[in-house]
Amino acid sequence: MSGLPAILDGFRAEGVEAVAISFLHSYANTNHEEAALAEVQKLWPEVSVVASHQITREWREYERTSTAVLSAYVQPVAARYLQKLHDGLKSRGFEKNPYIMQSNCGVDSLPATMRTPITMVESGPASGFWGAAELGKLIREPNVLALDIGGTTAKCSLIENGEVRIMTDYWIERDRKSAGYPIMVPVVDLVEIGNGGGSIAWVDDFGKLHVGPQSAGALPGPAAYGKGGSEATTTDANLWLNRINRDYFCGGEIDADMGSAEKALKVIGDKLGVSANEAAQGIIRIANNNMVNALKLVSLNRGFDTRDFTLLAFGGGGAMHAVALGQELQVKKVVVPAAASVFSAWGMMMSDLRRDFFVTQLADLGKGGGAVIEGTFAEAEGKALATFAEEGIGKDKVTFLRYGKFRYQNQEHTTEVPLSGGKITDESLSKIVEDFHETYEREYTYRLDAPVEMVGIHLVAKAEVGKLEMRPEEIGGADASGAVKGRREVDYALEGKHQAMIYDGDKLVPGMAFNGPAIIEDSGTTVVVHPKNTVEIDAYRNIHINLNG
Amino acid sequence: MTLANDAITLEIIQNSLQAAADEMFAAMRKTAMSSIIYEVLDMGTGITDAQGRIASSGAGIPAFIGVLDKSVQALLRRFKPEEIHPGDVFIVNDPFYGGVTHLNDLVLAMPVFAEGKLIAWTANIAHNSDVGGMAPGSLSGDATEIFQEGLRLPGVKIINEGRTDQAVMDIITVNSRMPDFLKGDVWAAISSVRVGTKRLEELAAKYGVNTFIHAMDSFMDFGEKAARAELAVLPRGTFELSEEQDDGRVFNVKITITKDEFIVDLQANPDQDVGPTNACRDGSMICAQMVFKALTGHDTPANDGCFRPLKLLTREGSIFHAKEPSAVGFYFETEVRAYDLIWRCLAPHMPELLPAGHFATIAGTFIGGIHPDTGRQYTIIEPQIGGWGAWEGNDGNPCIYSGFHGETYNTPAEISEARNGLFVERMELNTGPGGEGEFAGGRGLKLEYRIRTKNGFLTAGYTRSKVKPWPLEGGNEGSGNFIEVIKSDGKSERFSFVSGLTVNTDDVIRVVTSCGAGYGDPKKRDARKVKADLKNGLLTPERAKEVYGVTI
Repeated sequence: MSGLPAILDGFRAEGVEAVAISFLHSYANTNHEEAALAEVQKLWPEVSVVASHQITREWREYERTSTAVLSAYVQPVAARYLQKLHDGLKSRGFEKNPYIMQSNCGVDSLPATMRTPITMVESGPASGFWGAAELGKLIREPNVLALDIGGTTAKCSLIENGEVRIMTDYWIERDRKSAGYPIMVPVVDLVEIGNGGGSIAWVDDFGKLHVGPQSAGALPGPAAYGKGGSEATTTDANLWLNRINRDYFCGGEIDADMGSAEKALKVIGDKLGVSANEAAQGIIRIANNNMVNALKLVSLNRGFDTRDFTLLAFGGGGAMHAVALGQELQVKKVVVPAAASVFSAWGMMMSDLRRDFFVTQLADLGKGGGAVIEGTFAEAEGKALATFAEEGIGKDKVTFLRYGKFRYQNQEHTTEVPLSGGKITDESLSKIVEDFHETYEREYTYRLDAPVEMVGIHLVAKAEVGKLEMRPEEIGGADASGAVKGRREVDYALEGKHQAMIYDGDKLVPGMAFNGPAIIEDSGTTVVVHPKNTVEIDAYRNIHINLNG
Repeated sequence: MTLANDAITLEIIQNSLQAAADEMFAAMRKTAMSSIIYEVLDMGTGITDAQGRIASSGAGIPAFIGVLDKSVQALLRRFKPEEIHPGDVFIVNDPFYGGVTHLNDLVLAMPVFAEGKLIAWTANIAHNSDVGGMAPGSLSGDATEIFQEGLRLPGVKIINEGRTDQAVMDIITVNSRMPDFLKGDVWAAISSVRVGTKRLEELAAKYGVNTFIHAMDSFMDFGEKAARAELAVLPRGTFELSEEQDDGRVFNVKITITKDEFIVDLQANPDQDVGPTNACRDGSMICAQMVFKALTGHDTPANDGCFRPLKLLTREGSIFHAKEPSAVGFYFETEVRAYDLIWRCLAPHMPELLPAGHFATIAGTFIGGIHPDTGRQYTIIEPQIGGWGAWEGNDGNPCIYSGFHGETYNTPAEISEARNGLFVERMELNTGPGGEGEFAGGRGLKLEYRIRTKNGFLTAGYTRSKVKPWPLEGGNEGSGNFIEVIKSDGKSERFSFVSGLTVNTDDVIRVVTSCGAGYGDPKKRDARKVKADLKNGLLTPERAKEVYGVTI
């Protein structure tokens, strides 16, 4: 430690605000990082400091260091913000302790989040995907493909049997041309692409049409905002094809500037040698294809058959594209939740206090292996209980889910397998091995007659902190005609133009049913219902769309 | 259907080809057993049309993707159409039968059928840890014939209409010193071509075979159009370069650029080597393709069409067009030389497209022995990272893989130590002299392994050791690549090529790769940059004064 004062002097001279500490092998032994952390806190109490083991106990020094550095980078500003939030709430008489949404679909306490704020990195999408899992359970559709389309991006995730998948190989700013940065924290398994309502359509030098990833944002926004945007976006195409109501744009808050939209679409059309109308159709088809490829990455690519899944679409733009995507992927059905545009907020209200512990621990699945694995879980569970106890949550309130990360000997990448059935002993290992073979074969089409080993554990520790209680309404016999607000010609791209019935989403009540082609509008969402589809409103006012081939 | 919709359909299919190649890559990476595949990603995947023309850029390192079309074309020459069936998987590794590289690289290819017609191929290639031969890891500097470098697979079916050919699988497996790894890696490759095939079948079923084929054809035409547009603005003429190599041989290239042709002439080169550094013609073609692609559209997809303006001239029996049965184990160091030679020949004429010379070696490093903790055999097979050259306005990149290698990754020390049972004692930038300039070359690597058991081995082959990375516009040349073994008694020895050297407990293997070469007179370097280099520990004050004339 004798060199540390000089290093910190150098940092002060450089105006450093935050320090990250990362040592080799700290995933296995935290002593040295702990000592360095304590010394920095002693020598420079004001500085923001984090050690890599506080965030992750997995190996790979580059990923762990990148995570610590990025966490340190956001720590000062996040801590200031959270402190202000805390003080503001207290001064206005809020007596309870607020919880902060995390990327692992759970919430965590304010002090814990201030220590490692990087865990919030994908908290927004995570809350939506958690909502999708919870809603799936509520409506008895436990296998869900969740799709969240906003203004700039589309994100999707797969929920199997009511469980979200949490991983630690998340990267930011990673694409075909940029390596990005790894963040090794528990993040819901999601695929994100630059395709949202504001994504810009463009034609390259060789006459090929692309949509996104550049976005017009909120300002100038789509051309039809009339705020000076001259580039055609997905939203402009949706307006032009009458999928979005020109006279009820953004819930009637914006007068759609169709002149600007047409001009922008014509620019695209001219480059392609087609009309504005065909350009708009092309934009929708390309955007849909981008989203289909993203949805395949979380489903088919991982050995899941989309026909066993319900596509749940939310966010401002989800419902506009969901049926086309669902038809392409042949999902069971499409569900658009009530209040789809603010569905993530509902998901947050349904979440638990949750912490995911990933620990790298190699173990052979032979004699004595059971004790090693059980010991690793026991240690992590002890740690989890201690952190919950600090927040006044007793042992009886905490539930655990155990997962193991396994591989064939000599492989590197692992496959995560749930470990049910209590205490792990040498006797229970053969069942675990069989579960691994099965999971592996589903994902990769073959199994090997090779020894299986464990590389680490994933422990989920949860405690309920109060959820919304959802009460079903009575299914009535009301006729959907009462919700009809008009009729207009809508261009369904590949399926041609059809006279569609327009429904007021706010007037749809449980039990109502009708057929496509139709459009459902409320202030935040437009649901595009294709010809042949049938629609039912369930007891929670969710919109169920059966595709019918 | 309208014209616009038709064009959009084609584009959707083309995007989906790329998505399928990416998916194949992910499947292979996650299931492979050798760290050279799953960690380093020394592999490639791609899709060709029915004639074996590369249809999508694929995924992985460019020098490998460029192999796949050549392999499939060789299979098509070897097998009659009626011998190719749905569910078949072919395997080839012999460069004299379409394997292109060396015997360690197994290429797997699977025909894709729709409506009873062959419509495409999915293929992948990866470096396997050991395929037999005279030395562990199959590569030996002492090999004089390909027979000594492992089992030769001239293009055979490993899966016959969905049924594994156990005989072939068994022959391949028992010929490896690491049979479990080999089997695991081959299955990873099979799963990868199958994933791709499934996707392509779905695409063809959805859009129809004719549309699918039309989409591939038009994608290639688009590739050609894009390449020709860029070719048209390159400087025209004939450019020639002769360059001495580390071993004293002189390599030569003549490049002729016309309005619609780009001709690379490698005929005036030495006869093939008695040792294992020979390249086959297909491999030399890949070198030319990589430079050509860099010059004619690094932003557009790579497919067969892009390379239509490119011509390669070679002389059979020369180092760049070796004849059977010459040894080829270290082909990559010869090919990276050809690649760098073409680049160097053109760089002075197109400085805005081509930076000064980079460390330009694969730096293939092979270390093996007994793992002290598990008692099992371990083998490290890894390329190394190094410094890249500077160009007008920019310093070179420090420590990334050679241009021949592309997007590969080095192994984390924490994983290497656990898996291989040695200590990674040091991994840092090589801050020695070299590569200075108004714009400086990127720093090379200094990496040290301390061995923990007796009777291990080291094999390595680095070029650009004596003849160093070449500067531009008065910059300094790079520093040179080498490997050094420091024995436990303190004695040390330097190598650029070493084969099967015994290493024992507490011996240290030090890998040092070159800095990239500099661009422009060092004296013109901005003093602020020199000061930043000093602060970052990349320079000593003495060196700053001596080379840059900057005193602090």
